[in-house]
Amino acid sequence: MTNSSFDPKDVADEELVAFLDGRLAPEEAAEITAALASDPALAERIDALAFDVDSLREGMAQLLADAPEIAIPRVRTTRKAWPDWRMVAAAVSLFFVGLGSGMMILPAQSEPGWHQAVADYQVLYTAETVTGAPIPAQTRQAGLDLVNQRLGLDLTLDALSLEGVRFQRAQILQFDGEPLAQLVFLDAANNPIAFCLMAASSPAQAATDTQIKGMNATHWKDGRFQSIVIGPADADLIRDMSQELMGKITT
Amino acid sequence: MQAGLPGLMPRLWRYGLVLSGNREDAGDLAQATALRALERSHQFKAGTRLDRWCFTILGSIWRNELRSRSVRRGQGLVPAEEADLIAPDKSETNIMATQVLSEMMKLPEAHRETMFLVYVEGYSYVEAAERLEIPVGTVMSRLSTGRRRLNSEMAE
Repeated sequence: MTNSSFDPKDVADEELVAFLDGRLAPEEAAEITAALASDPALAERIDALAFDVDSLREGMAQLLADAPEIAIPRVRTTRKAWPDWRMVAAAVSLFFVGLGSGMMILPAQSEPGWHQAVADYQVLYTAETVTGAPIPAQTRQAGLDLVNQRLGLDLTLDALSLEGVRFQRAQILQFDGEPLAQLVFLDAANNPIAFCLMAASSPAQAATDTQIKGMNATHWKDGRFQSIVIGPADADLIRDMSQELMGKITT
Repeated sequence: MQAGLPGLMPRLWRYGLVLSGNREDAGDLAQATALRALERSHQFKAGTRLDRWCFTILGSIWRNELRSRSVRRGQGLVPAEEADLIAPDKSETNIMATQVLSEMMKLPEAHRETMFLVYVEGYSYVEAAERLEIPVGTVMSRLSTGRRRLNSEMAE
């Protein structure tokens, strides 16, 4: 039904855009649709405004898939986090006291403990973080290459195909200026599990199961690296992964 | 907020790329945005959209802090053909998609940002107007100009 006072020449380009975008009121859209049938000039104007939105979205989706890993900066001292932080620091220094034998008590604030830092990071992860944008195989390999290079390792994708989990990606983070390798896996239920390690010359220490921030973790030292496997996954799985990974990094 | 941020990082990076035209500034923008969002998490209203809130922060960091730096370095003005938008070896990428993307990046910043918000991130005209602090009519006229330019570039 065309309104008799409707003249396509009065229709502004902006209105045609809204028409193309499907954002015009139904009656206005109907007027334009009706006029289109008999008005080539209007059809031409519409053609000149058309573009391939789907291709744009596809290109944009590709950008997401190519996006680099961007570490989320840690906020040091917000007022709310402070009491929590101090408790953590105290716990960490107790932990170091507990280790005893010749080890100095570290100043609580300058040494927050890398386990805690890893845990702080890991609790931010959801399955979506890892699965949300598929990681190209190339990026995965590049991440692993960087980890190998920075930590003097020789890990391969084959070596990282472990029982019950899927390797997702490797990246280099830092803790107190030292490179910290993070290898992310997903278990069968898509729980993100991180295997983190950094160089440590301190004596070897057997694997210990623990809980940090409500996540299961297993950590150990082998005289060359200190390592931790952590995630909101089954404790047995974390322990098994640790056992397997231990063999992969001590060559 | 902490749970939502990591999943948002690629989209923040992409928005940063649309604004700055280069990957390095995009990374800086995404990171600065995450940091500010965490610092100001008490200002975030529960029940509202975290992505939109972060986009607003990103836009303001770009306008107030990073754009001048980027332009000074000459990087904000890199013609889009030279900006490494899509990794060159992505042979599986649709040629059409690559082309539209690269043509869009040649639009003036105001136009490509508006097109991005409405056509990629799904803002309504009104939401885009609020986000960009401009009248709705200006949003529509930017879309119209942007569409016309893309249309004629793609026809060539």
